[in-house]
Amino acid sequence: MNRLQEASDKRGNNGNHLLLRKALDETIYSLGGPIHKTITWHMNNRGLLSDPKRIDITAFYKNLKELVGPGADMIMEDAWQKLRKQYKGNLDFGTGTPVDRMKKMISSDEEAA
Amino acid sequence: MEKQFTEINIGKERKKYFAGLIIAVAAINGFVTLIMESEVNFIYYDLLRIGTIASAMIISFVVFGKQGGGGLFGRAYTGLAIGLTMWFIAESIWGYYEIVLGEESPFPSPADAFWLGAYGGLLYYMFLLYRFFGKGLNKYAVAGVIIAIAVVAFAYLQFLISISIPPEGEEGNDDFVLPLVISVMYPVLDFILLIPAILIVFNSGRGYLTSIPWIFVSLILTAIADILLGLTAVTGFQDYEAMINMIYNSAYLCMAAGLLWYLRFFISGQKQIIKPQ
Repeated sequence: MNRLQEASDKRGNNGNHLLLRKALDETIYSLGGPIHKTITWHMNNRGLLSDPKRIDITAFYKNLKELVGPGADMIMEDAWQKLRKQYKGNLDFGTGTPVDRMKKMISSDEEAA
Repeated sequence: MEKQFTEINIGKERKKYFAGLIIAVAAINGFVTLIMESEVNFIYYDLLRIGTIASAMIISFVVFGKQGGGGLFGRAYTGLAIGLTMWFIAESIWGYYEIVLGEESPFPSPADAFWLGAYGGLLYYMFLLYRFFGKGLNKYAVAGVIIAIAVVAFAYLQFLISISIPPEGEEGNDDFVLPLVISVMYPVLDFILLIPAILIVFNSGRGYLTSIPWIFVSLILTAIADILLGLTAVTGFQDYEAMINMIYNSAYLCMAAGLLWYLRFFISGQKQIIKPQ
């Protein structure tokens, strides 16, 4: 079973957290292996990836912005597009920035729990 | 127990890199000032440009060795390395013509093919990374820069073409066509490169790892030097030769410094803890 399936099965628990983490991880990896290593190291060092089942998206974005400046917005946008593709466009969390939508997505996990 | 990571103060590092760059630019260009009255100054000018672009090219190879060609940045920096290699070859050919063959300002020459070919790699680099570094730019700033560059480009090209076309009655000689086409291609490509480069520099300064926009500053300086070179070529103002060489040297050193920063902090692979300034 791959991570995506595993995450989907757990939807309503921590599934959205996992899907989001996977999308962010893949997006950062698409920048290049060494950059992925650097960003992951800094994020781990700040304790943002310590819980493998959860992600504090506000803190993640804030720290990413501190590290890579305007590029953080591109990463969040691309990660959101990846999620939309996975859901074949059926991902409706209203309007707003990708970070706002991700927050809504995560809060839907918490409501379902 | 051995330390697992290094602590870096990003503000201090930035100042150190900036001071290093200023010292290198001052040393190289100070030397240009010293030899500008010499009759063989062109030999030193050529060698200095070859040396400074070689430094940038070598670091771009190290970057490629470290990150490969994968991912957005891998592809972009491969394009940059190709562009810098072509610049190095072009500078070397130009130097060979001037120093070995004794041909002053060889234009057009095979060097132009490499200089122009380099724009492929440089534009590829620029347009791949514009989405990353140019994110969140104000649309009025974008429109303003495009309009300003378009106006300058139009005025410059009109002047360049009008002065390069032979007067009435001499149309029979087509020797001016190839040099004119090449002369026009440089500024056109430079102006295309200038728009995203200026916008990225406007948008820079944020992000501990990405706050140094020297590679883009370098491309802006190169475009300025190219434009001045084009002007001096058609107007015959040789007095600006030293200044143009200084701008090229500064641009190449700026490129080397930007690549060093990228190598040390963005793709280092070292476990560094960043302490804010």
